[in-house]
Amino acid sequence: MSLEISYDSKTKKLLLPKDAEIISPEVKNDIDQLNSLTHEIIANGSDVPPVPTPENFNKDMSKMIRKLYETGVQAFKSGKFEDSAKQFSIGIEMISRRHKFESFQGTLQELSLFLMSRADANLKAKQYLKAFNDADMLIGMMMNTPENFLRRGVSNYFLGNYEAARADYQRGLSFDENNERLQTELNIVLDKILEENGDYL
Amino acid sequence: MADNSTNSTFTSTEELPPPVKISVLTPLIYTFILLSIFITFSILYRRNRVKQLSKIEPIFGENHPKRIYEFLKQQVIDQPDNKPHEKVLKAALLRRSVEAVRRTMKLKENQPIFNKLYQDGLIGDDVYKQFEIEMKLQELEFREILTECETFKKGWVQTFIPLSHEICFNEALRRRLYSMDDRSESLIEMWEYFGEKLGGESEKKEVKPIEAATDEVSESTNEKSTAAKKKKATKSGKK
Repeated sequence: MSLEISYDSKTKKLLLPKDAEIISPEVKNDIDQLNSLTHEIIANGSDVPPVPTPENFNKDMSKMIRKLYETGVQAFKSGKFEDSAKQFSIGIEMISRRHKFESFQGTLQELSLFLMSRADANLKAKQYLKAFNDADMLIGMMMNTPENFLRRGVSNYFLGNYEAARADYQRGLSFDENNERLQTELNIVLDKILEENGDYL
Repeated sequence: MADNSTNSTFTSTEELPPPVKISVLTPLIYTFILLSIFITFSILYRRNRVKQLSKIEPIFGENHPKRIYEFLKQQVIDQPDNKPHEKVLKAALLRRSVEAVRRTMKLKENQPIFNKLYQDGLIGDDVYKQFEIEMKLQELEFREILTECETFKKGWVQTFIPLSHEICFNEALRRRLYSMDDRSESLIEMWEYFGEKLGGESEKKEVKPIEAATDEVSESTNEKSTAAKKKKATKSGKK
């Protein structure tokens, strides 16, 4: 390895020279990942990391995350959409700090709930790019949920990507062809595309 | 006279050359020469094959987690006073296994594609060989990891691979999550770029708001769609 790695026995971390990120960002990333995993294994206390089952999911953290979610929902209901999005962002940050050897399925469920809510809050707060990003990630995680296509479609509509919005609504409808909301939005975007093309009747 | 009338057959046997004496060592030398030729050929053939294999470019880049683990292992031998904590070594082995899982998954994902391309003659023997070698290397890597794993704790092997899978998925999820900010920046750049290209298209991006995806959906959308429909109907009526 071309980079000079050293081990610090006090912090139990691997160290790299300061310019390592420029010379080799991949090695820097790997060392960071290793240091965080070491920290998590030490914090866990057991000899080896436990088997990732739903029973071993950190329940204290789940409680805190649920509280954050409820606060976010409250803010959403009272019309404070930006605050609500912030609360959901904090929740997402907390989820990402769960130990990496915890159940992936549990993490995924929590994260998708928060992302859905944040996407909605961002849509309401007219933060369409952020909403688009959230909805896009949701589609990557849960491919067959028509509501996620609706979210991305609406974001695309407001970002001026009408063709992309149309594709999203149509994809959503392929999973649930009777979804009224998707049908309505599709009609709107089709009209908009006609208008843009100068073909509006 | 008696000498002249002797049996010719008898004289011919007398004229036969004496039998050649073959040493006991001769077959041994023969076998030795044969074997040495064989071994030389085998060595040269293998050397040539190794040379050819070493020319094949690996599909993946350098395996940094493996190098880090080897570095830490070496540290245990070289510097017993400042040797890494056992949990650091375990974490490094887990990271190495995570990388192996990631690579194996990538290869398995692409296996049908490689097979199809090879069957259709769209990729050559060299590329397919490259793929096969990579698969073999991953198998060997897993075998090595599991042997190492057994040295830390007996019986850990059974939970080690599922654990590596879970870490691999969780890391991938976090990578995607952390890249969201950078992604939105590149999206802005891309869309602004196209907006400029189209000539003030970016101004159009501030469209009249409709509320749609949120839970309290949109009366306004419905109104908008009915308005659009009415508009269509009146225009078609006029026509």
